[in-house]
Amino acid sequence: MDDNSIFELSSVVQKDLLLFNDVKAPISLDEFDILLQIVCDVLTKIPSTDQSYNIIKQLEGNKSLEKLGPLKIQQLYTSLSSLLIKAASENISTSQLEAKLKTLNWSFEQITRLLKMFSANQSKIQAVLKLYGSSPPKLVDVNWRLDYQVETNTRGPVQQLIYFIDLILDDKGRRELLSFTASHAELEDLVNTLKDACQSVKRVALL
Amino acid sequence: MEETDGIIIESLRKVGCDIEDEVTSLAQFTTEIVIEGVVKCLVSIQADLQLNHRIPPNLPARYKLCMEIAKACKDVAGYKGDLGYETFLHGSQTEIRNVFAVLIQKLPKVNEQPIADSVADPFKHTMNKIQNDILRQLHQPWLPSFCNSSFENTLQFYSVDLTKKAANSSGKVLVQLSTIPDTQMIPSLIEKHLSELAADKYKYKFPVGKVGIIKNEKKNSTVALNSRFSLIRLLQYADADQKKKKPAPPPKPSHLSGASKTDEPTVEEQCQQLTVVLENLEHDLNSKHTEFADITEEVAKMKSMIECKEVEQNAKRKELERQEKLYALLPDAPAHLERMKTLLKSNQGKMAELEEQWLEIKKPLDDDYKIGLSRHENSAGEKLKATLEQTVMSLRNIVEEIRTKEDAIQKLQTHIESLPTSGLTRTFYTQRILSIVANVKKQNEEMHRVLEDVKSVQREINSIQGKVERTFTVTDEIIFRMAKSDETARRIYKYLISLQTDCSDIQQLVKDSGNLSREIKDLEEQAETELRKNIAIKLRRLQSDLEQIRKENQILEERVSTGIKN
Repeated sequence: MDDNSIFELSSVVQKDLLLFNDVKAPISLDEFDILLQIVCDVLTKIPSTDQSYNIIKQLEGNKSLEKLGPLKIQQLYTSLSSLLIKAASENISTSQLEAKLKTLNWSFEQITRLLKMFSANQSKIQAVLKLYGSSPPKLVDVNWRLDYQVETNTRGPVQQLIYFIDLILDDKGRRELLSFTASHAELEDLVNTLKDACQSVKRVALL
Repeated sequence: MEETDGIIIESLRKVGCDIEDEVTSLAQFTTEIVIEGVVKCLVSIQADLQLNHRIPPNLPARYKLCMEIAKACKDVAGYKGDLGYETFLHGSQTEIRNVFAVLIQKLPKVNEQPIADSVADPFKHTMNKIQNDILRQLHQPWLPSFCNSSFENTLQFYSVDLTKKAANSSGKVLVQLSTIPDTQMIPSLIEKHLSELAADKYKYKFPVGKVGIIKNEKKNSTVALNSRFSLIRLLQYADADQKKKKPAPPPKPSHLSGASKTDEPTVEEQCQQLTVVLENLEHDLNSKHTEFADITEEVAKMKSMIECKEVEQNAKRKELERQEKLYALLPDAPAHLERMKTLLKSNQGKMAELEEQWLEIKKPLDDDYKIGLSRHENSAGEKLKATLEQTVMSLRNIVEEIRTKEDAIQKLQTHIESLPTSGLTRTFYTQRILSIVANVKKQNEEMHRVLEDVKSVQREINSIQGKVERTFTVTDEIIFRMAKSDETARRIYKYLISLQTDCSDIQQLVKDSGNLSREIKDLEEQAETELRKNIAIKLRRLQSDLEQIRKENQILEERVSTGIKN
């Protein structure tokens, strides 16, 4: 990971992050700690469809956060979560994160606490983030069988080779079977096309 | 020599010596300039040297400084020739020129450092990175599927529009945040942030919270390289497909592209149905919210009305109590009236007393207050005046400064314009060097030729000498044999012997004279070089220096002795 990778935050998130050390209404360190803890808990918990235990409900119920007002809590929560998600997904180094936070007027104590929390939870957040997303099924294995067709009911004597190919695919842990038949020429065509694909990759590499 | 002097002077100016424009050759250098130049060169070669570049006034300190400089020249610059304090104090031009030549060669070359590669093209950078990654991945061995972590991407990337949610439920944001399912929280946050970033960058707002986006993308992205025969088949069936909108012909190799087409309509329909249901639900929710807001408003109104009524009631109750008291007093009215009057009178008296007291207390305080107020006003005015004066003064100063600086800028500009553009270009020097090299080559060839001549002459001499010796031995033998029988032959033999010895003597003399002439030449050259060094003048100078030191020493001794006496 090189140090010059881009670490961008949207203007809305930056504006909301400025609220953490706003001159008019500063966030106390206790409130900051509670928020940070809740954000980290949400981001590191493996998501489940079970609705019985919702960490965000702690945000409502917390007495010390009550005076901030729901709108501000929502701004702080979303901006801090966005920051941590972005930092984790871009694999930002702590020094870069520190530099970014300094531009957002954060106090020294806030920065050190966040960096400590972040470095402790970075890998966990990354692991949770990895869970999301969709991908087409992956090719895992191939089975093949060669038959010799002597004759068919409809076409009489045929006398030709026929390949039976089973592609075994892995779709999010579920095995799928994709079977097809092909004559020798068709199979050769397929193999050549695939070889072409492999070659083109090499060509790109040597460009 | 003038060119070397020019180069030396220019280099010294670059090092930071203050050499005037009139100085064009080393002959015009004073001892001060020499020492300053040498010290500055040495310091720029090795920055941690501690040498003073100003000449101290008394002689011993000068000698010490010059000794140190000479030592530094030998250590730092690697000067190999003869070097002492006298070189710097009363050195000849050639010596100083040699020293400067060596020093300037050793100066660090600032301009010749290779320029660091400027920041490369970012596109090229990424292309290179991609190439390297592909190369690395091409060399990775194949692994069976169970060796790769298979738990990736187990959750669908479904998101909810957070901003919409927040806007919808003006007051109760948190309730909404916690209603977002666990699995959709992080994707929603990511999508919100991404759409905001896109809005910042491209003034484009991504549609957020559309559940089906990815699925649609998957369907649309079937533009892939197909195998040859599938393309042909596509050609064959394209027309048929367009005419009859039947499902695709059975075992088609388009299976290879992955998407099974029979699933499509059901998922889409489901999606549509769900979105419709979702929209209905959202609509319901909105209407409920407006109803709820209306009701809460009404409740607030009612509450305020109730408060108003309560206040009215309290006022009425108090009035009632007063009326009741009055009513109770009515039966014994005159007596009560009397009492009230006396009470009123006593209260009035008390009131007058208190007022007098209050006036007594108030007067001095009032005076104090007035004095303080006037003082305060005065002091404030003075302060303002002082600050005004200060600002005016600073303004004047700044204006003056600006003027002086402008003057300085003009002066410097004229100075820059008057500076001569250095005519000593690199090509000129290289041409000079090339011609010198050619000259040296020619001279070398000539020297070789002369050497060859000398060698051939030597060879001739040797051969002649051999011939002479051989003829002598032959004649010697013949005449010796004849001398046994003949008297004249005996005399001839004697003459021969004497001739031989004489000739060899002559030879020896010629050789000696040659050697002597060579020695004379050497000595003459030596004498010339010695003459060039101006030893006599130097000696005289040294003697004068010595005498001066002696005088200084005497003065010092006298001072010491007078000091002891006192």
